[in-house]
Amino acid sequence: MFDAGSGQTHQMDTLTAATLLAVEACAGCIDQLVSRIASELTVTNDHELSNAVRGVLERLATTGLIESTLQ
Amino acid sequence: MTLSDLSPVEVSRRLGGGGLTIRTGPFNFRIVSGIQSVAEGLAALYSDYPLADDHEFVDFTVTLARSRGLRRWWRPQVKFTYDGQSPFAPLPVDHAFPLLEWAMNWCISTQAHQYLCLHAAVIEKNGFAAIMPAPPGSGKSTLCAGLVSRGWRLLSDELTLISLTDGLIVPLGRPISLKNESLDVIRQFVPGAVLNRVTHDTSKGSVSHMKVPVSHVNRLNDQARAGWVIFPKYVPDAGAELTARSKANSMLELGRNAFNYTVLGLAGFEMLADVVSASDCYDFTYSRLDDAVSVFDRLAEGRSA
Repeated sequence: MFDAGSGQTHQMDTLTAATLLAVEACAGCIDQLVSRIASELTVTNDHELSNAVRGVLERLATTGLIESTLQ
Repeated sequence: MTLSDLSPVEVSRRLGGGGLTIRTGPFNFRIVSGIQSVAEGLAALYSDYPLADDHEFVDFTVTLARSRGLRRWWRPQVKFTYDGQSPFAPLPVDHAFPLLEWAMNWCISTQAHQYLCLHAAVIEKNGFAAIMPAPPGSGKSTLCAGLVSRGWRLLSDELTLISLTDGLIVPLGRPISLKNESLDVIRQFVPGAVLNRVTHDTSKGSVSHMKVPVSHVNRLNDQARAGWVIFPKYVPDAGAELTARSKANSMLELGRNAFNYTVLGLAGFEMLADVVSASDCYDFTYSRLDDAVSVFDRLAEGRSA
């Protein structure tokens, strides 16, 4: 994935890529994102997935690829 | 007209005067130098290359001149100048020919941004190119020289030029740089190889360059499409073995081996992604060139243009 803003290239695993695409498609609450990702990856929408997605969101925010709207 | 059409006296006269303009792949280099080893190296290695006409555009003018002052007599040095800049420190004057080759690489890698420029050898067979990025000491040029002497066509031993227009790989076709142990390896593997005189005690050790077969020089306009990305590594006593490598990781590693990936931005990313998508990616270990050639030939048999 190429970040035109920074010029950085990022290598992502499937969950990270799916999460980024889900955020791009419909930024919203965590539950909505997890539901969308579970559907996209055909995996079970459960607590484990939700935790994993939260971790991915934190990493994406740290690298500047997404921005949290929570104050 | 090729360089071999000129007498040695005329070669030296042009080099010492307005310059000798040689075409290597898509570039015209005007070389200016009064140093005899430069004339000798060019005569030995570039005899089959076309000379550009006077009216043709010159991409790069490279000047190699003896340093002035005390250095004219005491441990004489050679200085590379391009457009009034001297990007390298002066070197002992007997390093003039390898300095010319390094200077030509520098000109291309720092300025030819109409190409995605990778630090990688690249060879071709059946219309498909094998791109071989690797750090110094990995046996990249030795492998390249071995394959070129066994039916693979040299596109470049050092700089892979990928056109941003169509993604095709553009031959550069310059002499193959060899150093240290690889000199004897290639002399034994390619008994008829033409190497210019060895320059000792350079920053890379003892270096020489191998002449490119004339049939390859005659095909400098024949571009190739990417077929493989192969990361070679010489490992003593190892068998010749290909190991599949992920495309994502291969792309990142290719990006690290690019001279202008960050300069090109999104265009560079998209071109690199296209190249990697179209290529089978491998790590490759080898110790014997014969075995390596067999493995590469099997790869080529599996694809045809």
